[in-house]
This record gives sequence, C-alpha cells and structure tokens, in this order.
Amino acid sequence: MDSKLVITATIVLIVGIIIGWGIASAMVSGKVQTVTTTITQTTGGTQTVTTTITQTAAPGVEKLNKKNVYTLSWDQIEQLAKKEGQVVWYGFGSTYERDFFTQLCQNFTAETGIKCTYVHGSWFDTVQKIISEKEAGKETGDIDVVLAWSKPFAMAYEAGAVWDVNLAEIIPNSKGIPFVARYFHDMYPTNGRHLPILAWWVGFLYRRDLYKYPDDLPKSFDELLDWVKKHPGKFTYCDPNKGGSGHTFLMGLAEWFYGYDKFAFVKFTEEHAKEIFYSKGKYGMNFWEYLNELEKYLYQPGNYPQGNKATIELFEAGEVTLEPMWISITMQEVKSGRLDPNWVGMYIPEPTMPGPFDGVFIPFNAPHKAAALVFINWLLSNKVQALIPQKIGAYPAVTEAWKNVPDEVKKQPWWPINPPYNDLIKWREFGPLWFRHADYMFWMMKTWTDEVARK
Amino acid sequence: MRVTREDLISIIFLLPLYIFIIIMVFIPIINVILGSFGISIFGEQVNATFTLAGYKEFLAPESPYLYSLFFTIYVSLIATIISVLAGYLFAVYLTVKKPPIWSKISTVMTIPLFTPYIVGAFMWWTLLWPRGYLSLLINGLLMKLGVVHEPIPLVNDPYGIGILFGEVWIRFVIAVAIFYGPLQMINPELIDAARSLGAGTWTIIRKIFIPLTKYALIATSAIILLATMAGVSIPLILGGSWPQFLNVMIYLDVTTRFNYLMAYTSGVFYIIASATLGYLFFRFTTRKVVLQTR
Repeated sequence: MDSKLVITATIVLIVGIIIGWGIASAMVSGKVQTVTTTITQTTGGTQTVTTTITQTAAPGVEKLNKKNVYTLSWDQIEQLAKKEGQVVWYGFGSTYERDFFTQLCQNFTAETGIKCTYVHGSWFDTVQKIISEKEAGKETGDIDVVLAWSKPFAMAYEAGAVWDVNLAEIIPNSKGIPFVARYFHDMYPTNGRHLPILAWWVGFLYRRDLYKYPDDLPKSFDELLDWVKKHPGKFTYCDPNKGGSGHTFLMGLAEWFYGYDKFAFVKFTEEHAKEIFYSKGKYGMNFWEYLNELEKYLYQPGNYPQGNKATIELFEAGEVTLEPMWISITMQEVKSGRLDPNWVGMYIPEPTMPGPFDGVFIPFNAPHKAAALVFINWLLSNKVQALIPQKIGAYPAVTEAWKNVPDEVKKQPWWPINPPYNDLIKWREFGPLWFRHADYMFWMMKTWTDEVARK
Repeated sequence: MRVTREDLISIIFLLPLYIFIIIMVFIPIINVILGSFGISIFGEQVNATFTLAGYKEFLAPESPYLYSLFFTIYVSLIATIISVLAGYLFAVYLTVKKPPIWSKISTVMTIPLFTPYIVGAFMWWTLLWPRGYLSLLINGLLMKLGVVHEPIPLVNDPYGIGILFGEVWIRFVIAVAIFYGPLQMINPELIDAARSLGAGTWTIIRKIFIPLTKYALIATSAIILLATMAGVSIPLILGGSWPQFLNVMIYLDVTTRFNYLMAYTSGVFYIIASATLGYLFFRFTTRKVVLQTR
C-alpha cells in the first residue's frame, strides 16, 4: 500500500475524530440539563398530589419561564439575574422592618451588583394589585418579590397571580427551612410557591420585676384561668380582628383546648368549625364559654385593646402584667425606649404557641424572575438570616442560622426563657412546633366578635 | 319631540360631564349593588353566582351587621346633636358678645378642620386611653364624686364614648363655621328692638335667632350627620371590639376577613341609610332655604 495514502488517511481520520469530538461535545453540553416539570393537583381540601416529570431541555435560555427555570443550573440563573440587573421587592411591617428590609436591599446591591429596590407598603394593596394585573392580562408587571402571609398568598395563588414554580426545588438555600414550613403556610399548601424568610412568634410577655418564672406565672394554658382569677385585671389580649398577637394567642388556645390534631392540616368547612368550637373542651365548657369566663377577670372586662400597639402600651403603662405579645414588637418597644427592659420577661406557655413562617413569592408577571430567585436565595443565606433576630426580633426561617446569631442578642429578655424555646435549633428539631390553621383562625376571629365581644 | 341644533350643542358640550358622572358615580354604585348579589362587574372577588346570602346574613335578627348599622346611626345622631347644639350656641355667643379675643384665636379654632381625621383620632386615643391625661382627670373626678368606683373606659369602649369625643371635636368646628355666617346676616336692629322691649338673651335666641336660622340648623345637622356616618378613621381607632361602626365592619370584611360579599351588602345598606337620611333632610329643607334666602 502507498505510504502516502496511509499517512493521508491517518491524518484525515485524526482530523475527523477531532472535528467529530468537538461537534459531539457541543451537542452533549447542550443537553446536560434536564427539564423537571412539577404538576400539582388538588384533590379536595388541602390534600395535594405532586408529580415530577424529567426530560431533556434546549440550551440558550434568554428569559426564565415556569418550564425552562428547571433546566438551568444555579450558576446560569445567577448569570441571567445579573443580565436582568435589578429586582423590586414589596414588603410590609413596622418602621423597624422597613428600615431593615431597605438595608437588606442595599446590602444585596452592594454584594451582587444587582440593583434592589424595596417598596414598603401594605400586603393587601400589593396582592390586590397583582390580582388585578392578572385579571387585566398584564403579562409584565413591576414587582419581583412580594412579602406575604398566608391569607394574601392564598388569595394571589388561587387567582393564578403567583409564578407557578416550586421555589423550594430551585433555590439552594431553601433546604434549611423546616420541611413543613417550606410547603405549608398556616397549614395552607403553598407547594413551594411561597418560601418563608422569617418566623414571627407570640409569647407571654410578663413583668419580670414582679413575677418569677415559672413559680408566679401560668406556665401552661391549663393554669391560665386560675392565674387570671387570682390576678383580676392583670391580663389582657388584643382584639383578634385588630392584631396578630390576639388571633395567634386564641388559635394556640383553641389548639390546646381541643387538641392540635383537631386542626392539624385538616380540611376546613364551616360545619366542622362549628362542630369543634361549640363542642365541650376543657372544664366542661365550649371555647366561647371559656373565653367569656376568662373575660370576667381581664383588664377592663369586655374592653379589648385595639391592636398590638395598644396592647403593649397597657403593659408599658403598668396596667397589665401579663399578655400575649409578639416577640418582635416587644424588642422594638424596648429598643425605642418605650418599654423598660427590666420589666420584660418572655416565655411560651405549654403545650406551645403556634406561629407563622412569613415569606415571599414571585408574582406571575415579575419582570426580573432570575434576579428574584437570586435575591430570595440571598435572603435565605445564613448571614442574612442571622441578622433577622438581631434587627427585627423575629426568628430566622433557616434554622441553622440561629448558630450565627451573636450570644448577646440571644441573651436579650424578649426571647423566651423556657426550654425548648430558649434554643431554636432544639425547638425546631424536636418540637413542639405547631402551626396555625388559617381558615379555622379566620372563622374563629369572625365568630369571636359575636360570641365574646358582643356578649 | 324635535331636537334643535341648540339642544344638540348642549348635549355635545355636556357629554363629558355625563360620562364623568356615569363612570365615577353610577358604575361604582351599580357594582356595589351587583356585588351584594354575588355578581361583580370588575374582578373576581365575589363568586359570579347570584346569591341572596349576603342579605340573609345582614338581615338576620341576631345579625352583627344590622346592629352595627343601628349603632352607627345612634352614635352619629348623638355626635350630631352635641356638635350642632354646642356649635350653634358658640356661634350665637360670638354674634351676641363679639369677644375681642375671637379675632386672635379664631385660627386656632379651625385646626380640626385641617387636621387629618386619623391624626385627630390618635390624638384623642392618647388623651383617653387608661393612662391618658383626660382619662385620668375625668375618672379621678368621677371617683372623687362617688359616681363610679373604678375607672371607666373612655376609649375603645362599648358605648362609643371615644368615638363621640373624636367626632364632636371635628364636627363642632364645622358647625360653628357654618352657623356663624347666617347669624351675622341677622339684622342687629332686631336684637336691639327685642332688648329694648325687655327680652333676655335666651328669649332672643328662641324668638329671633332660631326662627331665622332654622334651615341652616337643619342643613348643618344633615351635613354633620352624613359626614359622621361616613367616617371610618375615628371609629376604627377610638371604637371598641363591639359594637362597631358599619364602616369598620366593611373595612374588616375587606382587609381582614376577605368577605367581599358582606362588604358589598353592608355597602348597599349604608347607601340606602345615608340616601334616606339625606333625602329626608334635604327634601324638606332645600326649597325652604331657597325661599328664605330670597
């Protein structure tokens, strides 16, 4: 055989192999990602069935949508976010929350180069705006991330105004959130479309200079009525329709009164609510009879403080010495100089107090969805989560972040002193971690007006 | 009927106004009425199925809504009576005595007119809550006199005392401002004549001032009553858990309970109540006021 021919054939073969390798590599790199489509079907009530389908995807994503978002690696999402260049976050809360969230946005901008704008408003207006945009068919809105609690989120979700993507599957830092909180908010199934970023909690705020825990205080709900009878006029709670400390306390009371299993993730019907709340619980009374009995010994019986602020002001004035109150508000009142820190003691009565894991969702028409994902992931980073207890007096959603909270913050008197609540990690890992049932809570709030305030 | 060119021009010129009234007045009212039956022109807040459930709930004998409506009218009436009486007497005092200091303090008196209601409400809350100066003063006095044995709640109370303080504070100034003008228009010679015939101040008020300003009295009462009924900031902040103003019920239904059906239904009853009261006042006063001013 001609040696020239052999050499030429060999060179052609090598070149062919190199070219083929290159083409194949390019083709393979375009197919390394997969599309994971999650289909969630609601079968009545709160039960859901989630099916995950995985398939190959096409490369070259320019804009995120609810299908291609599953095909990209986190690095690719970050690159897209940088390309989008900005994120707009709508939140709510007190001036402390406003300042904190504004500062967070500035930090995010400084760290990532993605411009973050924080808009402080009302959750109600924000959700109404998004729902209206959905109804009007406005495909590109101006909000990327919305801070919301369960009911507004449910309103937006049911109206189809939430980006139908399982954030819990995509956002890496979400893995640190307790599983139930990741997929339910106030027992409403979020299917990961809403991710908690913090947990506001209610405890019993007591006068530390007057009482010693647990000897002088009702350490459980079982002891509350007796304590209130022995200390008439020294206990009150917020009108549940005017402040969260009121309805969270009443929901905790109801879960103790009838047992947590009566409410835990069950379907809501008005008939069932009536059946529960008018049945006999503790002391041979129904819930309303119990509350009316309690009312006789409250501060100014029949007069309920109209809001969390009005409730804590009674405590600050020395009018009441024990009341359910948000830990965050207690901290903020102390920091603003209105509440003497030497008066402040906080504990969570047995069996426990339920609480909300409030968080964020992305609207269906968010203009910067990749930036929104990156921003939420950043919010859930240990560093940012550890700031939450320090700055606004709420718990981090990511449990492990508690380890990064400085000891001097944990030692402050507004954090519950009783175990397991004095160690968030133990509390979250071993319980009891109870939640509120949004639907039963709303029904209870409405009926409270008729059965307690009106009586 | 023949449409003339002038008619056509009038229609064309007035068309924007008619469109404005239709968009801004009629459509919202129609939407509220339809919403109370579970139908909504805009949005999907109410299930789009015809229902009378809202009306049944509103009109049920033990309904909190019906009670709230009565409470709203009741407290508004008391606030109106106090404001109108106090405002009228103060305006008469200014007319009769013409105190020289008035020219200096009249601006201060008008502060409530320019204060947002919500600011006024919070101001009264800080004065009337259990540790507020006014609350301590009033309760201290009542307890010293032996009228009460323990402090009574003056705000967020079930009797609407707090609401009355807040409403009267604002409405009193409005009443004075409205009454002052008509009283100044009364010929002073009439008062001099009455005095020369031996009439006392009270007789002058009864025989001269009231008859000559009775339509101003009625119109002012109507304005104050309707304005008080329509307010939400003051009853929301100064009112109690129960009873509540119907406005507060609507506010809570929309923002807390998300019960749009009841919010729309309450809205319909509110419109009916306000329109009826407004009609009763204005139907029998407007013409006579016109005649009187002629």
